[in-house]
Amino acid sequence: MTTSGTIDIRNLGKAYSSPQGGFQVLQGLNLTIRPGEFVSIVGGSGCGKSTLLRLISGLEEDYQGDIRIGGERVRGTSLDRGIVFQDLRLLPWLNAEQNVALALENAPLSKAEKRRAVADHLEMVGLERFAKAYPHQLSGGMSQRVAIARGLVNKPELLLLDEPFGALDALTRSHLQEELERVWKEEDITMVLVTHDVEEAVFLADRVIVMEPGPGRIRREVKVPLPRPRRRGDPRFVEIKEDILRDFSSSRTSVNGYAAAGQAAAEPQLGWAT
Amino acid sequence: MNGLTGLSTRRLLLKSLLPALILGYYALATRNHWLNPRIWVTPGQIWHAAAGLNRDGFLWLAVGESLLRDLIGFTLGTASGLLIGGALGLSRWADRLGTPTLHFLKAIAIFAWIPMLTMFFGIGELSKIVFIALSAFYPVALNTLEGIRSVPPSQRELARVYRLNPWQRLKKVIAPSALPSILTGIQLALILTWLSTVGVEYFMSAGPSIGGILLNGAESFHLDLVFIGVILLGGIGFALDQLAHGVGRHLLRNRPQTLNA
Repeated sequence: MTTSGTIDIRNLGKAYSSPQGGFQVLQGLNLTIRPGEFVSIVGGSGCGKSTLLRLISGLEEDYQGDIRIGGERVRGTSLDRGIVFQDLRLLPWLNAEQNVALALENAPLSKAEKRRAVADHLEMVGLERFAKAYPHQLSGGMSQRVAIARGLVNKPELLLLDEPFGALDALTRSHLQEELERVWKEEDITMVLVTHDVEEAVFLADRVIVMEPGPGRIRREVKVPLPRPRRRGDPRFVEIKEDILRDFSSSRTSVNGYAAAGQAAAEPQLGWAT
Repeated sequence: MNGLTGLSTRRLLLKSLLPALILGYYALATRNHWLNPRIWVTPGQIWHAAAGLNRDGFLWLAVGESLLRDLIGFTLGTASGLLIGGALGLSRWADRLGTPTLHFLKAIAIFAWIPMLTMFFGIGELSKIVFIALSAFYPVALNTLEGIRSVPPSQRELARVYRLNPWQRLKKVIAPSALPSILTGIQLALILTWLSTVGVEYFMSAGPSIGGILLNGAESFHLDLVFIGVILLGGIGFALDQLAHGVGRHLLRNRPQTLNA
């Protein structure tokens, strides 16, 4: 069992100010995530799901309400919280192992321990033979694995994933989802995944949080009480997925014109249809 | 392999075609007196004059003097350009304080500095070095500043995620990210300092130097000397430029092939 604490989010609000006035991204959001839990957050664009993730990571510090991890209020970033971005952010002048090692710059480890940790994590994502390859020599899926290895190499208690597989083809994506599940089980850490792919959310999560925009808030939570590894064709799996997808079709008709007009392009979608 | 060398030989031939044609026409024109023979000298005469200078040891002395002067000015100018450009790029405070002044100063044509420099430092070596350094300073400072400013916010954010301290951030993220732009500045500086070296030798009369050869040739109507000066100026400038691009390509060898051409 990990030593990580419970993530406790109370009455969270976040506003951006712009020349046209303030814009409320999140309002009155409450969420508790248990240690070791896998939580997916789904929602159309503009529902503030990525902002929520950035707030938990500590990259955004100006907010109303409270975010506490193990009782401590989040202040700034921490090596205990890893994050994987959709745009990967591998540094093009560093090879795979150097990119992973970047995360260990300030880890309290000896040089040899760092080297071993980098090698172990590249092996975990199956890239030990590509340690010396530069990002432009790697495929999209391989690059994403490097980014995941980098997110995990510090042994964080929490890994935040911001649409990590959004840019990948369907086959690579489902393969990486399975790998992510394996890593989650092996490392026994908390994972919070933001995605607009409902199938991905259901496949991986213990609990799916459905968000809605204007201002961003939680619409409801859906538990996924299915045994792992899950089969995407399982009728119960399909039922949960359809249930969540219905939320989006109903919100499209019920929400005002702003939401309907602004979001059509980024509506949640069936994983296998893309 | 054979096809490759064949291709590069053909390319080299193509590249030297235009200079060869010009030289051939010039040789013909001087030999047949299409050009006034009292001013225009034949390639043979130029070669002869160069051999004469070489025999005295003067030619290499001149080249050495000019290159040394260039090197000192280039080093000083590039170092201060990196320092000032780096400070302006890294500190918002320094940026607000210094960048407008830098942009004002860069608008002054480089040769307009000569009167002021001679007033401050006389017409000795110091004036020349400062002038050469100035011509390296601007491209390096401006490109360093620009390179640091264009580090993507996503890369800066990465430094925050991994809690890099300012030194780690500079070493691991900002400097490598700005490197292509900085190299562009240094390449520019290398060619500009060479031009200013010969220019300042010409305008502030130096001893044995390439600018000195040009000056002597012009004052005594010895076009052969002028040609020797021009050929050295162009040849060495070309070599320096090739060197700079080679070093740049080497330093950026692991990057996607977009910036280094």
